[in-house]
Amino acid sequence: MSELVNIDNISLSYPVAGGKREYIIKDFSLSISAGEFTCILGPSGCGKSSLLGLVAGFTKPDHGIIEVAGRRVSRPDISRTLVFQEYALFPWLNVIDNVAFGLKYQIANRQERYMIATRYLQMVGLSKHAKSSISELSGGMKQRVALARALVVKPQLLLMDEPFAALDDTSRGTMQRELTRIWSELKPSVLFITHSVDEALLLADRIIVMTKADAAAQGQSRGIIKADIRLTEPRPRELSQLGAYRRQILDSLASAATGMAEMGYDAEI
Amino acid sequence: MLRELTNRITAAKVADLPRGGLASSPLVQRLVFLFVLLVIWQLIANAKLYPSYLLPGPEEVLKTFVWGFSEADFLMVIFESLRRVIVGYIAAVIIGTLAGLAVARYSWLDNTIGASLTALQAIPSVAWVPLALLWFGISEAAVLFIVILEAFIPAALGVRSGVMNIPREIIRAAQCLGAKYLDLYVRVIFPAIIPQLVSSLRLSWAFAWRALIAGELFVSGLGIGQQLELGRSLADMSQVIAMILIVAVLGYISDNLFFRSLESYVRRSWGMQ
Repeated sequence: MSELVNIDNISLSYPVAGGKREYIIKDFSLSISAGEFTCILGPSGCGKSSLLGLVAGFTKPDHGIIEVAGRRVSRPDISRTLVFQEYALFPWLNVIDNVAFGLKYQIANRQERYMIATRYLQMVGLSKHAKSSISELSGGMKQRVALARALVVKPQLLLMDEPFAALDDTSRGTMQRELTRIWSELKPSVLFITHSVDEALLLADRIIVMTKADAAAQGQSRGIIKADIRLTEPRPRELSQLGAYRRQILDSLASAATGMAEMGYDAEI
Repeated sequence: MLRELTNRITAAKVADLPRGGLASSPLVQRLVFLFVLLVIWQLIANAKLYPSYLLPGPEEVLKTFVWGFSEADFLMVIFESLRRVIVGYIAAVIIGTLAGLAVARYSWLDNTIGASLTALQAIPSVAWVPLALLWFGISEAAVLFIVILEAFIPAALGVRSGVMNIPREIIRAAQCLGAKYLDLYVRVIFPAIIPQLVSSLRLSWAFAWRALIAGELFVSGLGIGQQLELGRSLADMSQVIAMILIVAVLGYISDNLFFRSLESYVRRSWGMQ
């Protein structure tokens, strides 16, 4: 697989009292292959969402380079779409207009936009709700709309920030299965942030465990990556068969949390 | 024993009261309230505690209304005031919306103009009258100046707060989907603030009315404020009360029939209720 995302030695910090800077991410490097499903795990506050914000182009690193498909990331772009935990749908638009929102920048013909949006609504199982308003949908349905809206513009990289965290267990399981099916069909590159080890094991080709920059700077790990685990293909889909990976991830998470706690952070896994 | 019996009877009576029906209708309650006010007013007038030129009864005010709408030019007075307030209001909303968007966009504007808006809002409209008269003379421009100055502030503050309260994810989602610059405002920011904007428009309208009456008190020509002033100078209290009632009715109609319905429709459409 060719390399799609290249994150080279980036740091992100903010000023704190005494003229010092607090590092959220420090000297971080990572590359992601095209079509790869990468999950990022880590204790709260370790910089997972900040990393996503950097890759999306919402924030600029203090130094270092982020490239997607050879192009340097400088601002948000339709080639990198985002799915949020809180859906971030546009409540003044109905379901199909939400899905077709980004297509306006790619396709001039309205009919054509609606045809494509309808196809993606079918893919997420919501074709009967095309004209429904957002407020009529359940949490799981809203997240399907958000997923269709993010995928319909055919992004090179799909960024997902704990997308299923607000859902109940049943909806979460359904959405995980749906995402696996859609990913197998479309094969977009995915960078997926989650707190759930099981979710990461079910979805990902590759799992990265992150820790806080300051803790990592003590030489406990390379950069702020605690573990970089590539799941073998064909990978087992049953959680019971993924026991070894699970143990490895949990050990890395525990170690990351301990490191952060020693630094005085409230590192909840 | 007797006390227990009385308590039981009282409890039974309370339990027997209808929980719904006509009596619980807000409209009926309002009409009954207005009727009671009229009765109290009539009783006070009949008691002749004050001379009739200071406190006329409802009947006298009704006669003024009949005379005003048939013989005098009450309709023209209302029309002129409405025309002025609508012109001033539209200008105020446009200025307020643009100011609110600018203040929300640039922090230096928020730190300067944004901070002054709240201070300006605390100044009553009548305080601007001398300034307006000196700048614009005894003219319609002076009234419009006061109306715009009073009504643009709630619109600006509402838009500012609306923009600042848009969830960050909504803006980010739109940016990721390709929306930027003017398109981001037209397709995302402006629709997102409409519920807040409608509430601000309602407030702006109330401020515009108050400012209009304050302004019209001091300028010549047709207008509700000027009729109030005329009633005062002629010691015609029934005309003064008639004008006050016209302001109240117009305010009630605009607020309840227009703004409240619009607010409710927007909140429903935006999934907020």
